[in-house]
Amino acid sequence: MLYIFKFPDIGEGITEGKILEWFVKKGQQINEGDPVVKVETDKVVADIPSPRTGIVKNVFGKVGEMINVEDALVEIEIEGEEAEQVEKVPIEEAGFGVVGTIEDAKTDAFLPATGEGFEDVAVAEKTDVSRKVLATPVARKMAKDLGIDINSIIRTGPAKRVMKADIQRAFEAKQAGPKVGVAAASRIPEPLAERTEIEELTQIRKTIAARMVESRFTAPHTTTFEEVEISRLINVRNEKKDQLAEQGVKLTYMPFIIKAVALSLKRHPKLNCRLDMQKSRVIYNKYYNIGFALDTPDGLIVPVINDADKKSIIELANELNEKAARGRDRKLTLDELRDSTFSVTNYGSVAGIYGVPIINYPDVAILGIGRILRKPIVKDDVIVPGNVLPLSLSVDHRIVDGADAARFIRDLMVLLADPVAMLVM
Amino acid sequence: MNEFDVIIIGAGPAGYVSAIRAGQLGLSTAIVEKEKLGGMCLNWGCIPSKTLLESAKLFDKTLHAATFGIEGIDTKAVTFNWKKATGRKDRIVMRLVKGVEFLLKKNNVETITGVAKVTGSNKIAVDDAEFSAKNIIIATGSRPAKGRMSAIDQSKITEVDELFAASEIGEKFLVYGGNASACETAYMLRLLGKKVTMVAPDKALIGFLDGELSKFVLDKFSKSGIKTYLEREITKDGTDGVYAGDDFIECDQIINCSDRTAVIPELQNVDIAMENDFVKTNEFMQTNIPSIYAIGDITGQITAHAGSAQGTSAVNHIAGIKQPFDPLKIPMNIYLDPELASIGLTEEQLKEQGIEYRKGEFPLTVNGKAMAEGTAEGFVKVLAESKYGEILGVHIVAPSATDMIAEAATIMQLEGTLEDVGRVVHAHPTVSEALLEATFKAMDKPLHM
Repeated sequence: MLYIFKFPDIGEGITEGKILEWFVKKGQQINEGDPVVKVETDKVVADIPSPRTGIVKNVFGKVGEMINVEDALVEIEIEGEEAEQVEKVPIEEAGFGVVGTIEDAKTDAFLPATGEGFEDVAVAEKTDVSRKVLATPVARKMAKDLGIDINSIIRTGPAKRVMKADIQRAFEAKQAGPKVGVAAASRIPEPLAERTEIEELTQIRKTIAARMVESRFTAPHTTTFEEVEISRLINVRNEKKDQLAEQGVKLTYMPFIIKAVALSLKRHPKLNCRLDMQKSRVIYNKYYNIGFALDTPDGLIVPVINDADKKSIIELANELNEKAARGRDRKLTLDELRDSTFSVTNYGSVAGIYGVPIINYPDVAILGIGRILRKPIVKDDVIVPGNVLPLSLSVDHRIVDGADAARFIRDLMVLLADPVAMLVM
Repeated sequence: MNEFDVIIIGAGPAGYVSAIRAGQLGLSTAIVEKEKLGGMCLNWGCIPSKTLLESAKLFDKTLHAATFGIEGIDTKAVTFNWKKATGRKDRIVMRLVKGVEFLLKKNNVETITGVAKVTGSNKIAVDDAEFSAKNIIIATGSRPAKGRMSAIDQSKITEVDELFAASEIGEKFLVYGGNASACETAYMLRLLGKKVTMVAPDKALIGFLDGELSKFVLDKFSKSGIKTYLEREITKDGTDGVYAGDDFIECDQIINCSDRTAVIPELQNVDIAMENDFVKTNEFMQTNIPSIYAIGDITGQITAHAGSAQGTSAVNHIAGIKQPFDPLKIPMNIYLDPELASIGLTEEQLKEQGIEYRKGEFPLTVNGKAMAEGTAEGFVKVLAESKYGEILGVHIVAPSATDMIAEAATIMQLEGTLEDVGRVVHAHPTVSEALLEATFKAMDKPLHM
């Protein structure tokens, strides 16, 4: 039986990915669970495993090419098996970096234009960009008329042809202004080749751009700045850090900050909510999932620590280190990157005293941590050396008022100044 | 085995096409039929009527053979043998039914004979046997409504399938109905020299057609000697005839070509949503119960090819292939002489929807091929929206209109424009050149006018 394995819907609204590497060739034996292809989506790089064992009869798409969910990846000849009912194979092995459902149909009437019959035509030598996308005559005329780039829109017609309705949708999206997943485009003059170097945007960069635009243009930010003296916290950390290092636990300030944030959020539910304007309502989250901004070689990602309020400092430390390591290798699953209720960004870890953090939308607040400053402070009317942690808190001013933000940050400062208070809360 | 991926109820053109497609996709498939494979279309509808119409057309042409230079035919001696004509029809039907049977077998479709009941969202029963299926496709068709002729002796009424199966027929007919089937039946009988009267409750003959086509039919009937009463009902019995209001209509047979109503199988434990007396579905033919699909006449799409297209959409959807059914791109054919064919929006609909349009119409009176064939009446009308020139409707009256419409269907499926058709070389001499000319005309540059 011939079986067509299609690029699965891996959830989180991901609709496309870029082929980075093929692990299989035409004619090769493949076993269930073997990786088929490495795909870069806008969140993760994932090795997509084969749901079946058999001989690879066809490989669709080339390295560097964008593929959409539901596009055929490979055709597998399964020996001795009769054709059977279409089924959904759930794949949840974290190691594969893919979660969700793999939908699997036996035959697809419409293979993408990169299907075998097309592969060896002259266009194969040219770059992908120069390939003329299939489109109906009306779609072409409309695209030209309405100023829509016909090469960069979702195609729904047979054999991935651009239809009239696709142009209409793209036009309406353009009219509606920057929206979810669409970075605002502004005109950049054509660069001089000898004085510039051009690099294609990665999926992750496109996502970062779109998410930033979405947050900034949806949630009006306002930011509060504070300084908190954390000598006692420094002492606690210094006391424990070597002892924990022997046990393999790397203790930074982040676990304390995340714990303090989670505990403070419990007293200030407004900073842990979601604003649903469409349905005119506020959704208060009764769980405390704290996202932390992570600098990776590919760009910013925000892994999430679930139920941070219920975890000990050591548990938080371990989870932070482990997720950071996997995040840098882009081995996190999508689940580990979603559903934060509040985020923390430690921009001071390199340099920076104050910053205005952008909210990880649809959260309504984000805490920025600056570089710890050794500087004079006034204590009991005497100037003494102190350790000052700069804080900045951005909130979505549609739902969180300045006073709400101030009350939250005041409670947070109490906990950071006196870590023992965290134990008794 | 009583478990299937798909069970289809009804083996008409909607059902059997679905079954073949499902088999091709590797789904385990069964089809339930209470009577004959091929359903209404093959056994009692499209194919029989077209076969008999061909006989009638040839009969009529024979009577006029002298025009074509054929001499020696004593037109008074030429007679029509209805029984032999229906015999030819039976042989054709048998071949086609055998063909369906072969295709179902070839694609591993199990055929179950009997009347199916839907007993759950994944269950059906045929007589005492129970079957389960991941998906059920209902394709049980339609039948003509009878209620409207309740004022007269019901034994006078002949159904179309009874007419096609009869060994002999009367001389004076009343055809009740204003739809395509009524017009085709009336015209076929008229070609055979019968006296034919039409009574239709409708405002126009084949009302869904573009106004010019509908009017063509009415004029043609009037010229052919078919008396037509529109917006009328049969009100009472009379001697050797019936009354439509004050008008007495002499007839020895009344053919029921009323609009059709859905035939819904018995439903237990499931509540399927309806809309205007037909089953309501989404564009993938799914009913309100996701595992149950409905296709063909029961959805209100009363043509064989629409049913087949719906069936393909439904089975593809079951297999995870999204291919919605688009009711706007279904050609509609009327088999008279000349034929009529239509696809997309009519001029009236364009006006109603406020769409700015360009129109090109080309008469067949100047088309060489049509003249040679001896049917130089009719026209081709092309309607396109003004801005991009996308073709939104094509309406044809021509000797081969029902085949010509495929070009229009193709162009519209590909969202083609006037310019695209304008660039297609049409062979000469053909009737299809008229479509090219109509297109040129819509672009304000006709060649042969």
